[in-house]
Order: sequence, then C-alpha cells, then structure tokens
Amino acid sequence: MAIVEAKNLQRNFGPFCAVDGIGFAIEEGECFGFLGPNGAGKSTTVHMVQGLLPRSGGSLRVLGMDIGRQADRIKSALGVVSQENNLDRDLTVRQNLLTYARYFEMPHKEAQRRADELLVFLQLDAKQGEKLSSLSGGMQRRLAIARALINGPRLLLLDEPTTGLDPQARHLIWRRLNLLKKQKITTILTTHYMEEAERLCDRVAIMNGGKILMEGRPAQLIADVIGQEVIELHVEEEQRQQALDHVRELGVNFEIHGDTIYIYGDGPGLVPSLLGIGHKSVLHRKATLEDLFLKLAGRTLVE
Amino acid sequence: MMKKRILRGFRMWQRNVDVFKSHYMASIIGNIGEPILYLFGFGAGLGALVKNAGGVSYMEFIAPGMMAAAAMNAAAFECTFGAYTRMAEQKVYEGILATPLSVEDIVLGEILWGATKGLMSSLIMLVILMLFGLFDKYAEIPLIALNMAALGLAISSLTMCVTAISSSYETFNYYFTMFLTPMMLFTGIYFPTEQLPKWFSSAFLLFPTAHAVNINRYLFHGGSASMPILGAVFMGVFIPFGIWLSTRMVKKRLIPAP
Repeated sequence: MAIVEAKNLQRNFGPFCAVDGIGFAIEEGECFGFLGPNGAGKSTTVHMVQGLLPRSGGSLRVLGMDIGRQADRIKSALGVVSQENNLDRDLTVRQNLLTYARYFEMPHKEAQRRADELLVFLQLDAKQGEKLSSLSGGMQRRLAIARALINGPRLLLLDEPTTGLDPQARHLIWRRLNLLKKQKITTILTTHYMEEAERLCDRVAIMNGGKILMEGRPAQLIADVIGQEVIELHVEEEQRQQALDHVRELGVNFEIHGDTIYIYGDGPGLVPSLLGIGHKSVLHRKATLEDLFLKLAGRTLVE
Repeated sequence: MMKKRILRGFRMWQRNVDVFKSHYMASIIGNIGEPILYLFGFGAGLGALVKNAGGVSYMEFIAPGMMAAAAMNAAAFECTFGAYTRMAEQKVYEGILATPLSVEDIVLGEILWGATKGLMSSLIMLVILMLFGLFDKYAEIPLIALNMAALGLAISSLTMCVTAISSSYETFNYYFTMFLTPMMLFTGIYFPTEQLPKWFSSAFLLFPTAHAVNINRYLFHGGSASMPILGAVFMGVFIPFGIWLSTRMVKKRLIPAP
C-alpha cells in the first residue's frame, strides 16, 4: 500500500495555480524527493500532505486516510521539518522537545527518554539547557529534525532541510538523514540542491510551474535524458558562434546556459572530437541531476 | 470531541505557562507595582477632591472597577503582543499545527491563557485592595474570581479577533484607542456612568467590561441585582460567540481557503 497517494492534486491561491494536477505514489520505507526551483510548488505539495493547506482539487490519501477528514489521526503519525524556522524560541532546546511531545499526548517519562536519545543522535546533548538564540543555524535545523522525530513518525516530511546552511553543517545533516534512511522511515524531501536529492532520494519528481516534469530513480533519469557524461565547455563571447557551429556539426545533444555549452553523451569519444573548438576551459565530468534539471526546466525558468 | 478540544487547548495553555514560569518575577512585580501607583494616584490624589461617590469614598468606589481594569488590560496585552508574536513573528502556531493540534485548539489555548493572565492580575489587585482596607467581603471572592475569569475570556476572544487581522504591532494602536481606552473610561471604572448621556453609556453595554464592572460593584457594595444579572447573561452569550468568531478569523489567516 502506498503511504502517500495523490491523484490530480491541485492547489490554487486566488487566480494563481501553485500545484497543477499532479499525481504520485510513495511506498513504505522510500525516500521520495520533490526537486525544483523556488515557486515550483514543492512546499505547497508538502503543506497539503501534512494537512496544513486544504487542496483545491483531486485526491490525497496519507497513511491510507483522507487528509481532509482525518487530519488529527494522520498528523499524530507525521514528523515535519518546515522550511521556515518555527522552533519555539521562548523555550530551551530540551523544552522544545518535551513541549512538542506533550502535543502528541506522549507520557512524560517516555518523552524524557526520547528526548535524551534524539539529543545524542543529533549531537545537541551539550546544548540541551540553552535558549535557541545561542544555537547556530545548523544546530537549530538539527533541533527541528529532532523535534520532528519525537513522536516516532511513520512519515517524515523534510522541506528544504539544508537550505541556507554552510557545507559542513549540511554534510552533518546528510549523515544523520542517511542513518534515518537505514531505519526505513518513509520520507518526503524537497530541495533545490540536486546533490542532496542524488544522495538521499530513492526516487525523485522534478517539478516546475506546479507540474511534475519527470519522475523516477535519479540515476535512471539521468541516464535516459542526459547520458553518462557531460562536457562543460566555457567559451569566450567571440568564439561562441564558431563553437556552436562546431557542436551542431557533431550532431550531439547539448544545452547552452550563459557562457557555457553543456554537451551530453555516453562514450569517451566525445572529447577528441571537440578539440578543434576554441575555448577558455573544458570540464569533462559525470552527468548529474543538475544537468537533467537544467535541461528540463532551465529554459523556462523564470527568475 | 469536546473533551479532546479542551485537552488540546490545555496543551497550548501549558506551553504558555511553561514560558511564563521562566520570567514570572518581572511579570508579577509589574502586576503589583501598577495597582499601587493607580490607587495612590487616583485614590489619594483625585479622591481628595471627590468627597462622595454614591455613598462610599472615592477609593472604595473605584476598587471593584480597578480589578476589572487589571483583568482587561492583562488579557488584552497577552492576546495582542503575546499572541501576535507567537503567531506572526515566531511562527509557533505553524510548528504546533504539524502536531495533532488544530487552529481551534491553539486559539482556545490562547484565550484560556489570556483569561488566566487577566485573573492573576485582578487577584493581585484584590490582595492590594485588602491591604489598603478597601475589601473585606471574603465570602464573595469565588464569585468575584469567576466574574474576572469571564471578563478575561471575553476580552481575550475579542482581542484574538483583532490579532487575527493585524499586520504589525502598530495595528494594535487602533484597538487600544478605539476599544480599550473607551472601555477604560466609560464603563464605570473611575466614575458612575450616570454622569454620561444615557444613549452614550447604554452603547457601552455592548462591551464586556461594562458588565464585569457592574457585577463586581454589586459583589463589593451590593445594590440592585438587575444589571448584574443582565451582565451574566451577556457574558454567557458573548464568550462562546467570541471564541467561535476568533477561531474562524485566525483560521482564515493561517489556512488560506482553496
């Protein structure tokens, strides 16, 4: 049985359509990612799954129940890390966990035990008596994750869990999320970091303009659309036309973004054929989700 | 269903109690200091000019109203600045909405907490009135406390309606100028409403404070029971309506309709 199942799911804000008839099914134990730029409709989707926003149309079942009718039963089995910091700044680190546990009617002893475990798991035990103002951004995000886990959720919703963090803090969170993944907690993750999605997600849905453009396993999607490898060719303005002509002659799959030409392919035979093109620098690397995303959404992306 | 709602509202209330416990001294000192200043200023200063206020001294006259004013101000302050900070600035409600609690539970908890603050302030005022020798009807204390709790609930729910549509702290100036200050001045706290044109003072019977003052004055000094009975009926209607309306308004703000 799918843990989350959406059919033709829609959400409007006045005349603006934020989520435009999407469908997806998330299986138990899976980490499912929604990828896309700001405004793609990722957070709106998550807000509907957590029962924060009523839907405008379509159907949405979470844990086998209708989110519109049984929100409180569903919410008691959810863990949510919001994009915006909504930790309780009037409380200490530990109080944040204990107060939250009380909203779930968890017995006090059990809440204490869970709080101890989670503070250690997210490396916050040394900070447990402190007010939130003395915590770094990364620590606050870890506390938000601890808080989301306090009720032992069956479904974890992570809305851009590492946005705005420095690389070190981000890697620490990724390591923790990987450990959670091993425990087979069903997870929905939204992100605009392709690297994050590739590391953590079993399946991803690429969103733009309220629609799902493509859905599947990250490696498979990349292989199907982009290929194994990418050559990034950085060219000067004056060499650009000549370079483009040359690439077109080769008959390869390519994209242009700014002063860079991205050439996609499968074999190692690509490089020699390009040597005749004048360029500043060339980078030959493995294809990533970012390439896929830029190819799918790049040209339509509105800043 | 109702039991669940009250239990969950109580969880929100508990959260506010926990926060209050960490800075209660500052709050209590403010609560004690202010009534003494008011009593001294109005009682000793103005009271020296007013020799007779309906058969009692001026200090005795303002005592029941001062209690109501304390409850009103504490509840209004908590449900404007306190609740707005939690809702709009700190996004505490958003965090709580990811738990089994709903907007209904949160608003109920906030109103209960505003009423609790109002009751606390008015009871501190009562203790000070006792110390000044302005109150000795100990048997009436439970009814007085009930009246103040009801005023707290009424003002808190009215205030939550305002908070629900506020876009900044500055917006509260409208509420304080248009509602609280008139209620402070024209509901019989500092002078008998008979001094005012009848149509004017009657208009204030639409506001809970006028009724709470009438009830309190009756419990302090006795007199005709007709206005206090009207007041009790008014509270019985106003409070459930206020809770319903404020919940609806906060919900509209937090959860945009599809």
